[in-house]
Amino acid sequence: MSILDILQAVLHGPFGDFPFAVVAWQALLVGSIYLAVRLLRGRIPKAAFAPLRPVGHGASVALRNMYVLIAIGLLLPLAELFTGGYLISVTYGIELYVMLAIGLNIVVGFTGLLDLGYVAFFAVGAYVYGIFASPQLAEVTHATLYFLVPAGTTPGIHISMWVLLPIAGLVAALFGVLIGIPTLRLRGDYLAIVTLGFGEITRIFANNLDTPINITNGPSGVTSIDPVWIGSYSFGDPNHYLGPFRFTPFLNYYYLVFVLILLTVFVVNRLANSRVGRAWGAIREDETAAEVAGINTRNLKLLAYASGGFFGGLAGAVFAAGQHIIAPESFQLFVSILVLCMVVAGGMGSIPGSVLGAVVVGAVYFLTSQLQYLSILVFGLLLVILIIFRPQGILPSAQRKLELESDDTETPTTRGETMPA
Amino acid sequence: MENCLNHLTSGFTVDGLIQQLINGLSLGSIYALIALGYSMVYGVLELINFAHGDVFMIGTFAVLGVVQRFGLTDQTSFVIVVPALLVAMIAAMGLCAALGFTIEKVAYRPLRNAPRLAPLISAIGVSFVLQAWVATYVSANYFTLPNLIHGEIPILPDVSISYVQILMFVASFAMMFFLQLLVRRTRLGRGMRAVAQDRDAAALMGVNMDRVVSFTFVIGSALAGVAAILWTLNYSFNQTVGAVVGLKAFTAAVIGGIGSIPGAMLGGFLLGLAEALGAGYISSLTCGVFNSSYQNVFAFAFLILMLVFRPSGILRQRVSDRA
Amino acid sequence: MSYVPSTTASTAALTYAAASNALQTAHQGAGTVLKIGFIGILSGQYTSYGVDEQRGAQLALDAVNAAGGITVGGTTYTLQLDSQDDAADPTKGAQGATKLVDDKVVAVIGGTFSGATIAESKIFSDNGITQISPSATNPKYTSQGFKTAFRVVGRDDQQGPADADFIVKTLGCLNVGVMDDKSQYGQGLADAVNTQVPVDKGTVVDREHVDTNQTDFSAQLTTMKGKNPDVIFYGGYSAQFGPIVQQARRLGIKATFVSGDGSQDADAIKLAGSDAEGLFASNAGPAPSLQPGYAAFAAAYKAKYNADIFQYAPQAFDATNIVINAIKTAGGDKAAILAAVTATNNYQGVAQGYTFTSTGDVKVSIFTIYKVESGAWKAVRAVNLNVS
Repeated sequence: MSILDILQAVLHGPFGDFPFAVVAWQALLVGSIYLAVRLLRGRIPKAAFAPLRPVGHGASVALRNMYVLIAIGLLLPLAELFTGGYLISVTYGIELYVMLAIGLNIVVGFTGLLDLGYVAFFAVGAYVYGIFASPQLAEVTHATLYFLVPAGTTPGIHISMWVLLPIAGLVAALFGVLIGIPTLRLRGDYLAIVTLGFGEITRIFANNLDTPINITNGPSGVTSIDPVWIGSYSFGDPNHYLGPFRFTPFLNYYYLVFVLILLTVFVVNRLANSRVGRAWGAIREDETAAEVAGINTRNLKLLAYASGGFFGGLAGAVFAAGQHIIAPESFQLFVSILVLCMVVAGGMGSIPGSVLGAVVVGAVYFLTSQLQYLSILVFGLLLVILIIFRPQGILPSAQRKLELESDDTETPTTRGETMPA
Repeated sequence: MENCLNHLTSGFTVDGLIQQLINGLSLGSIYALIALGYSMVYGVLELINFAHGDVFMIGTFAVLGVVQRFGLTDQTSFVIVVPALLVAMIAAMGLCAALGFTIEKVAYRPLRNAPRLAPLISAIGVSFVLQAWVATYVSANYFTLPNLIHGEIPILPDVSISYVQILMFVASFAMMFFLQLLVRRTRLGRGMRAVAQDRDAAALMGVNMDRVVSFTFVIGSALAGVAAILWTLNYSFNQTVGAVVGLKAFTAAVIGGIGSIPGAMLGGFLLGLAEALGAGYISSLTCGVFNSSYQNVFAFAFLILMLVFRPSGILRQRVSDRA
Repeated sequence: MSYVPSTTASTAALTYAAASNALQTAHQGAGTVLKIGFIGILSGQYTSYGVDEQRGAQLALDAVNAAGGITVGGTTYTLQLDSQDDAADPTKGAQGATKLVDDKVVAVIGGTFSGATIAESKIFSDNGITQISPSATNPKYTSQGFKTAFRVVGRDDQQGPADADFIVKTLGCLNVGVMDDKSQYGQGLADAVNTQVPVDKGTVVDREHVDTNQTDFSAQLTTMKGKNPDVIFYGGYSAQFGPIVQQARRLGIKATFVSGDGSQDADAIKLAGSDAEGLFASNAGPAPSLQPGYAAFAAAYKAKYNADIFQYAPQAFDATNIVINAIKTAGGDKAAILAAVTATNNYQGVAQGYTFTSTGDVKVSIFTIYKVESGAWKAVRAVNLNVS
């Protein structure tokens, strides 16, 4: 009996498939969870909810731990020998989410700007690579161009990933600035809803820009996207072997994203601990005070959007190459929400938290997807429970933790009223 | 170019325009009813109740359940349809109200002093749960109701307004009137306004915060129940309808000025009109460069323009700092 | 509130597992278990399509196993279905395809919709595994140059012209309004109609688009009404087609509605309610009544699943039988199976006869036009197309 069967059994209850019995059973479950929440919130000593160990913006994670993690990441694919390629295909999917979570963390965690349209940057990056490294533009430009990749016979523009990767990042960053400018004055929930709108608009445009000029190929999406090449080594070729070890396309891309993650963590960590990072923190805490203190909040907010967008764009470009087809339906609102959940679950403002959040939430998401809608149901429940019991996330940043705790003590009056237990 | 001019003129008739206006306003009146729920909750707690759309969705399924139980069809006589629909409305309102009350208690109340993001995430979680629950235990298919209320009033030879559309206007205005009365004239309404202005001061003045908040959720959700029955009379629905329509309704609340009851109504009507006219005429106005599948863009474009140029909404003055 | 697709699917999956386990033990001594992959939509809005196909494939395997398996060159093979969900999402499709490769399947039936199927086809091609899709209709799937990609259904660019010919030539309606749902399938089909109508000397008076999560269609329909079409063609699924018809009638639109295979199902009739009478829709393959073996298949389906065929189960059944025929000559070697499937010549299935072209399409594609009469789809006309 797998864990999924157990889960299903718990959700269905002991009374079989009779609908009313299922409803009653689930109402009972929700009721008892609620009661448990009420009882536990007041009774369990606060220490039990304290973070495992407060960590900073990544800098205070011991270097030794970093090396261990890197070693695990590099050696994990050896498991392929025993489990086959599926594990790597899922791990690769999670890796892309790690990139996205780190990027979104800049906007949401560091700067405190709630962005529900992050998938737009992912989409922009994917389309930049997809359009300029596939036969997509053949009918528009009537040109065949192979730039820094081994020449082939397919018409269209085929530019190397190593040229397009930074371009994809920069275009996504520019897109971030474009979204940022009209929303500079907005805060909190309003910002969330506007960014959500931008994310949806991006997808709708991708779905419709096949007329009057066919740029995105509409709902059919861009197909036959080129793989990444290093010299004459194609990432899309399934027949690379090293002894018994097969470098499948997924594995090639796994290592590519792994390197990108290391670079991203390095850059974002430096950013976070620089003047810029501290200014972001100031904006998050009190924008008016930050402005009075001489921080150029406008430029810094735009910079946050731009850098968040940049890393989203990078992830998107690799995603397009690895999947070989991209379509607007891959860039749904759901992706933005999933990434946001990762950042929140991991602990806002913490880079190790974002990584861990993406790994945990991503694994839960991919591995329970055979449960169909039940997977989403469980996912939603976990989200509510997590945020109620541990709003600071699994690995909160030291700084944010202090804020959360001082928040608690500052408002004793309302607290007493809402928590009768 | 000449081709384009032809396109423009052939696409436009006065009859068509009037019909689009009627369609837009009737859709808008449903947006308005749902927007009221968002607006009230935001006014009191400054929280986007992301699960509100899904409460509305549960309401549509409650109506479906009652209609199927009564076995209503196109041919069912008026004498049976009216009481059955009343039962359906009560069922939808009751279920929605109970659900709204429970959601607030379970998912929002423990987070009242948490960072602002926390209740939003919790709301998203609740929204997932409700949608997945319906998809798993009820159905993931789309549904429509039979033509329960027949007939229309002709206005021009080719334009008519159906009884269902009239019902939508009447119901939404009646609900708004009732809500205004509630907020202006009752003790709880006064409490709501007090909490909206200053939570801590209201608590110090002896307003029972928890009761006010629960009450707000119950009223807002019951209104979503009313919206649900109106929706099912004319449109299709599945478990995602709440997410799609809810987003539009929230947009309507912001356009009108969040926290304001007439504002939510105005925003709903404006958004309904913008969508109907936009989707109806964008193709001919742009010579086919843009087409009617941009319909969902209008709501967001409207929202963004509104927030850029008048973040306080049409009917409410707010300092931009809170917006 | 009676139809519960996902639970039905999971209980069904359990039943298969139990059944095939039992068979496996029964034949353990006799021979080897060969895994046939299935990939398709087993979750989400379009679950009904994938589950239907999964059942078709399972029925084909059941028949073989019940007869004691396949004996080739002294080895007896029993067959087992290995199902993966792609949720119509290319990313999940690629992962599921990789899982099937890991599981060492010898051939694959699926995917359901074109987007995910195209993503999967690259992985199956990389690994030399035969893939036969029962329902991916987008031309792109077989035009990528993959030798492993086959389909047992006509393409959108064949069905569209068949629909346009029917509208203009058979119904004699010259003013056509074309609508689609801006999905890969819906737009592809509507575009093909849009191109063919002028060729047939008709006129497309209006082109409108809706969205797959849209529920209010009044803006598009009111514009459509202003252009006075005789016929409105809709490219898309029944989830929108039914409500569109209902709302159009409420707006006083009298035009005849025609749609494609995505709408030729029981849901369209249920959703359009009393307005369903007189709707037309095309579907791949000849009318079931003309096809020997169809009735027996439908009965077996009903007996095992206590449900009616939803849409592509016959195609999935045929695709699986094509693979089974290949195994009968090629044994358990995937390269030999690929060669044998490629050589398939005039195989008579329950949906139609199949010969593959060099690209992997079906050589003779037959479409049938159906009409709703007294609450059910009735075949009214057959259209044959020769694929060059």
